[in-house]
Amino acid sequence: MEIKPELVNTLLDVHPDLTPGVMTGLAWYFLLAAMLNAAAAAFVAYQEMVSEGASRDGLAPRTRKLPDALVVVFFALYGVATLLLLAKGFLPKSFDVATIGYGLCALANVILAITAGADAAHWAEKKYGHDGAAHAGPATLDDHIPAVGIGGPINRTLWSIVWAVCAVIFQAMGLVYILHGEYALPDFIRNAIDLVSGPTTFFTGATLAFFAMYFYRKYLANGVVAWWMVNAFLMFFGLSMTDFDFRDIVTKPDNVPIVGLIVLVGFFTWLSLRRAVINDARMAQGLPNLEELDPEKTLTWPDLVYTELIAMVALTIFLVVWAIALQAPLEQPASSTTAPNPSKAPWYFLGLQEMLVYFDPWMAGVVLPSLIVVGLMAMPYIDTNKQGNGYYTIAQRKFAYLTFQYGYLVLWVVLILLGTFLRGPNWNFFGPYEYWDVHKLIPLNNVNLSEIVWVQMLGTRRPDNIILRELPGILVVLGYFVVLPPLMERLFFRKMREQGGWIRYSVLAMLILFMASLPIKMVLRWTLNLKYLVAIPEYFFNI
Amino acid sequence: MAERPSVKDILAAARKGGAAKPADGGEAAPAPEAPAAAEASGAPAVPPPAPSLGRPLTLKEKLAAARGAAPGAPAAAAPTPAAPAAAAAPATGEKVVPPPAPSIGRPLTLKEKLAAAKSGGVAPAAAPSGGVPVAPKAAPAAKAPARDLPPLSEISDPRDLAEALRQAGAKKDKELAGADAKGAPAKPAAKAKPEAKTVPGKPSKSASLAEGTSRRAVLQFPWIVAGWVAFTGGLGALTAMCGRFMFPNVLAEPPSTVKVGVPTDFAKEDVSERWKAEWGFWIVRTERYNGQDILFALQSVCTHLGCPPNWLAGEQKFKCPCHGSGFYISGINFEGPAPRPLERFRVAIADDGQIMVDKSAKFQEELAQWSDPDSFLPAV
Repeated sequence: MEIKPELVNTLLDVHPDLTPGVMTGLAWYFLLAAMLNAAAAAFVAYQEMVSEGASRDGLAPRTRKLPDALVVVFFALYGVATLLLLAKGFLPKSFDVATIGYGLCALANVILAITAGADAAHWAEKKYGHDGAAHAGPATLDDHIPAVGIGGPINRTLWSIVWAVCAVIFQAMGLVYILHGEYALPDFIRNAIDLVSGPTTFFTGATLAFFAMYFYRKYLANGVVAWWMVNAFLMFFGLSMTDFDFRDIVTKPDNVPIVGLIVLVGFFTWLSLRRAVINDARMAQGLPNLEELDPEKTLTWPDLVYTELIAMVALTIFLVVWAIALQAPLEQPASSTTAPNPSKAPWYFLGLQEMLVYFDPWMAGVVLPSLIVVGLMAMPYIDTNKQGNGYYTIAQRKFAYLTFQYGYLVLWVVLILLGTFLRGPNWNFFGPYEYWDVHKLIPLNNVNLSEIVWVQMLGTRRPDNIILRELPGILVVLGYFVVLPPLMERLFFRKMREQGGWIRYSVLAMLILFMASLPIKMVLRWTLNLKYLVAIPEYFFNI
Repeated sequence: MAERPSVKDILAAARKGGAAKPADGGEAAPAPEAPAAAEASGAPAVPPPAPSLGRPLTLKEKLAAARGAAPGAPAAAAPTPAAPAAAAAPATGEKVVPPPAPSIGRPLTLKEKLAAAKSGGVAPAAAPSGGVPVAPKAAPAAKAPARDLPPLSEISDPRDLAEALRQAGAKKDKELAGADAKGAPAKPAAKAKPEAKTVPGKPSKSASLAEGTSRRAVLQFPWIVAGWVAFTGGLGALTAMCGRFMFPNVLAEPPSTVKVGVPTDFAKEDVSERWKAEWGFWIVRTERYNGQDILFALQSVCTHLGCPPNWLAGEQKFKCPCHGSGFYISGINFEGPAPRPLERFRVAIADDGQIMVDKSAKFQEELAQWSDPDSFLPAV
């Protein structure tokens, strides 16, 4: 009797990194990555590259052109592969349709990538000669016309070759998997990542990455840099899928939307950032910004309504297909005495659930969420900056951009990611490649501030009087909300206060202080194991 | 009392075309019509119309005329503005508004018009016509271009429509006035009050006074009160029912006490999970709370947000799956966000020697209730 390896693994409760199904999936995943890079190479080699806001006036027409033969070959190969896969049932069993079909697609990718790279090199040699000295000539539409503020024109020959090489590498990885080569992410990399990941490093790293994004936005806005990041993400994600635990979490039907969320949030954040960088550079040079340059308006009917109709139909189809393909997970019947472990909120509330780890329920569940809503509503009344209306900008609205994006990207989206992927049984933190062990021991002995002050620092026992006992915490909290606003006004918000007045400034300061209380409390929990600053459980009052 | 004309009647009258002509009802419309006509003579607030009327009236003129309820106003208007305003005043018994400007060579300003309106309809530029007092019966409309209007359904020209509406309005006025006149003793023209219904659709004081005693007003009053009383009563009844709902006749609650066995059933430093799923508590036997070997019933509800924690025997702790709160075997919180220890239920030895757990009474450590002898049993 033949025993399937999966069955053995299941019986032995082994967590196999690679199964035939996973390897087939990875092969197609890397095929897709290779296709994206081949397309990028072809784009850089053949297409007109005039960036946002750049003018075409007075430029010689382009001579680069996508060869028709290449298009025909590419789609013909994909078409034949599709037909083969569709006709699988009618072909003899000895005929390995899946591998041959995959090979045809891979061939199409590689042909596209190599042709594009070689063509770009050939074109450059023809135009500039071997030494490339004539590069300094007047720009034509064959060149990359960069947007203002993003840097100089890229070398199209170089980058079409680079993306072609990337495509070939991805394709090679895909071929390895389709030919049953078992390559998994090396253990030392997984262990290293697990080792450094923890709520502290994850959250601090996200905060640092956020500020890096802000300070280096000029470089991040560059398409080449952005495409490198896409490739890095594709590679990281593909290799991580070879890990059983990572795959187990990421492919849970609950968590699939979060993966989509990473892609969507990342793309739109980048897009707005790029336009803001271009606009800021243009306005610094006295040029009109992109939105002034193209003040195109369209009609509600039919343009907008038709677009909405089509979007509606497409979204409905998408949701139906998704609902059929990825069934909603049904768990055990609800019970008031048992809960799944870990018990997770709906994905969009996982940031709130993470917040609840650091605060009392009435703070994290009532006060802070209400303040999020109130603060968002108060924004137009607090904001005295009239600039930045109707166009993307960061330089003119630094404070607004930083505050909002930090609150949204780091305090909301990143906490959702943390709650979804990195919180396991007993709400312990698990590395991305770590097995969700119910018995994982993480020392979390938390103490209240009164304990730290009275017992650990002063060496006495805690006073019986509640107010006296909690006096240190009360003083800290009062100081935070009373002393800090005037201090912040002196240091950072003088102009804002002069423009908007004390009431506006006070509201703003309160909202900022409440918002900052979350990361501050998180850091205090991780560094001092601090549970509550003020802990009066006798009256359900804990801060 | 004459009945109010129905819409049908009005339209029919309008179709006939002549109904609005005061001349027709010369005697039927005695009192108020006269001052109206007199006023009309002083109503050249209308932009100076062509005296000859060799052309149809403009819409503006028609509307103005309709407001003055004097169809013939333009006809009566005299070209010479020099006449004293007093000439009109005695005729109507009205307060006199000084003419804003002797010359009417221009349209009146808004201010002037408002002033005129305030004065109750007497034209500011009383310009009347070289002081020619208009006789009450000088039915001005008679001289107005009495055009034959097509039936209302066939009117296509907006000017015709306006004319038809004006005529309808005039007829209504007349009839109302007639009603008034019949209801009250006829008065001389000069004494008729100026408010006597010159603007259609805007009932004057006398008219509303007359209606104030009408059947309709009398009948409306109790209905509204009854409606509000019913509404309030219904709302009150609903509130009472909601209140009653809070106190059901039968309360299907499970019994709050359960017997869990004799004290010797429980091993040292052990947590019994048998009653967690159905009753929501653990029976714990430990020395780690205060050094004494005691038994107690610990409610399996986390004091953070109410999730049910799990007993991890290997780690000797209760651990909550929702936010990671941890509790020692004694129930004391030590990790995660839970602000206070788990709660105990009351335990007692029943007559048959079994431990009886009473879920209706709770003991909280932070309120120093765990020293209560009802909150634990000495183990044997």
